[in-house]
Amino acid sequence: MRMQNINMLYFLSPIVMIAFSIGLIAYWKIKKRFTIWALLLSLVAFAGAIALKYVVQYFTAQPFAEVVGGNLVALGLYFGLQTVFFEVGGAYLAAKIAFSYGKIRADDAEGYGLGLAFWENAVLIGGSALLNFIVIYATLAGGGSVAQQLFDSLSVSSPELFSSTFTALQQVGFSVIERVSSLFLHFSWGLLCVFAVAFKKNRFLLLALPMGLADFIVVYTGVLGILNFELLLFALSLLCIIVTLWFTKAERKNASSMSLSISEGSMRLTSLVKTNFKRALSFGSVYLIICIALSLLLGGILNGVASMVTDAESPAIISQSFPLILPLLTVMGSFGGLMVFVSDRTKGVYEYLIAYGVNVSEIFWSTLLTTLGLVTITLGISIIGNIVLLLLMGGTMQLAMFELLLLYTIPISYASIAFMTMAGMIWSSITRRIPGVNSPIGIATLLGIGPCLVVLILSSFFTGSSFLLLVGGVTLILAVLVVAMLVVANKSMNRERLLSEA
Amino acid sequence: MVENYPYTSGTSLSPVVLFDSVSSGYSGRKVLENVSFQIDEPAIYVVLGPNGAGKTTLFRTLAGILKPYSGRAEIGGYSSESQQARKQLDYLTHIDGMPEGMSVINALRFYANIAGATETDVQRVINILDLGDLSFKRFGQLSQGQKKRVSVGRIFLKEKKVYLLDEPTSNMDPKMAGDIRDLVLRLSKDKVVLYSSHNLFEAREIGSKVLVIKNGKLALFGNISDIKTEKYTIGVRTLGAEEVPNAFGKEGDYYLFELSGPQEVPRLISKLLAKNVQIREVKEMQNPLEELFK
Repeated sequence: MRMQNINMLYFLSPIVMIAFSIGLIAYWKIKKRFTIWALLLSLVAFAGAIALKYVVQYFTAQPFAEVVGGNLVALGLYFGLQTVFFEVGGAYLAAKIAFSYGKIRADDAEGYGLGLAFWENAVLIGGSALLNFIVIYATLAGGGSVAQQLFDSLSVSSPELFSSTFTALQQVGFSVIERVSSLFLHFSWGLLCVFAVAFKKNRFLLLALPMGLADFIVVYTGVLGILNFELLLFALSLLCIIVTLWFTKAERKNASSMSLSISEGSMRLTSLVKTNFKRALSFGSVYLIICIALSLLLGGILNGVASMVTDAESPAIISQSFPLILPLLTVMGSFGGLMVFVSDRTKGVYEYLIAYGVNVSEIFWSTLLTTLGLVTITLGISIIGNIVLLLLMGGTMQLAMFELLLLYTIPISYASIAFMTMAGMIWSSITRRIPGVNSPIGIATLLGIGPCLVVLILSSFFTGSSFLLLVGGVTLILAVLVVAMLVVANKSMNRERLLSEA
Repeated sequence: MVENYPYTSGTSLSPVVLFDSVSSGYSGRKVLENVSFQIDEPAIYVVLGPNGAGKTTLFRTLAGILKPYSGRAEIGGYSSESQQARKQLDYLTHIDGMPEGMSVINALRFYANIAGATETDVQRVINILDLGDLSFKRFGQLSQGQKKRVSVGRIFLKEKKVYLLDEPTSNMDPKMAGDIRDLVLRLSKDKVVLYSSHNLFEAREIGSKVLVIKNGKLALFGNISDIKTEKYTIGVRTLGAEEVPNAFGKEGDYYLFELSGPQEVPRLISKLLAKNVQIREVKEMQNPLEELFK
């Protein structure tokens, strides 16, 4: 078979889903409300559920399949019940905790549902599919032996990628229907979970839980055929959203008035994050610029070294290894948030904020979110800059580089910097002002770099999927530590700890 | 002292400010001990006490920043730590508390957002305190007096029932201090203002009620006229080495004069100038409160 590139129509499916998901959120924000908390909580609920599903399936999927053989009912229940417990149950648990802390309210229900759908459709499925198509397209367009290998492999595993326009359109259509079904389902159980918590009505939770069983029919795809499967899934999800909207008619009317009393907290947090983010960019601009410049310099050096190596495989490996170092540099580029925290504490800003009703948890959250915003900027510019540099210097992108970015660089950067920031804030709050390397910022840097170094050192012992487990494990431990520190800080940190020593 | 309050949470019967047997402090160390008072009437209540007496701790406890170790601190019938209490109260500390790196107008907008005030309120504050020329300057570029003026502006962002002002005129020149006191007097109509100072003569100028804190305990809660001081000592430093007539003594470079109060200072200066004394500086030689607590 002659080598050819994939049909570009396939790009339509993820692009449509990403645009649709973002568009819906923007529409809801303009029409009613969509808060940063709804987005964050839906991320926590969704990412937690996916991580748990991954861990459970990693250890049990194969033995379970061997035990039940080809029993589709058992397999369907195996997947369906995981969605019930982890996705729907997790969404309820996250909403319950957030509601008890006043971070989410009844009229955030739709936003929460849209958030869950956004992370599934625009990020996990849409984002990764788009990235995958870009890499495949770019690799095949580049030609050479790597492209031929990829083409041969795809011709066997996904021959539809090279099909005619008509078949491609059909596939894109199925894919879009499937994502719309997913949107209906996530929206429905997200909304029901928030209402179950806000209105203390367990019947909404009982209505939401069975919706997770939609995954029961996934194992029947082969039996039903793709068209029937997609239509059945769509019909089920449509039923779910109709039932949801019908049963919540009265509550949706009352949600806004019921929520007025707790609206100030999220407004304050949004205001704090916005202001602190601008200030953190200004405070930490030198570190940010140095970090991005170093990452580009490193990328340039790696490309230069790669061009001097003569064997066939090494240049690509060397030139695309920059994601390994990025988390270490990103730690430095994200100092701004912690600097703002230390400055505000020293200057007595927190004394005023507390008097205005801002609590310790909001102060910590605002710094954490500000820092994660800086991580996004630092990583975003460094990654795009390095990819552009790679292409300008004649290199080609490989799937391994994107896998490294997605599975190592991004999660470990966010997790280790969140850990660094929380530890730095607590350290700064419970100690007197110390200048220099022993200051909270100096110590926190080591805490940020530490986990990245541990993963890098251990990576030589963990290869393939075990490396993924290593990164996942370290990320999970860091995430748990961050959450634990937030909870402890909120419960036990005396407000007096945030007063200026002046 | 307060005993057996008619207590009804958050109603019109609740005292505007209630401190009932409150002990409070830092890291378990008591600074205030068993302090009780109740305020029902709008007025300026001057909180007097020497440095370290516990004035700031009293304010921080009322502002809900410090949790009392024992007793009840309430605003309008609500615990001072509750959001309902905080909505009724504004607080000015002795620290400027302006976010570093922000312009004056952005710093005010920042606090307006947190306090639930609007852009119109920010513009009103800029007009009231004549901050127009400073609006786009960074806070760090301002003089001490200008910083204090901006800091004071924060309490005018939103109208509240209770204002806690912790030494609002410290580090200010006499004219600016007078201007701020005028603003506070305007603010105090129908409001409860607790105004801390270590200067009895400032207290007399601004308030009619007084709370005197001594060693973490409430020494007096009553009318300011109840406090009598024997003398008001002024020091005059001259440019030359000439003898200054009528001084009762000398302390360092300062010639000492005993007056009945600050209102006599202009007359003394006129007298000295008439006698060709070249005055370099005039200052209070001792804190009248030190006399009060002897």
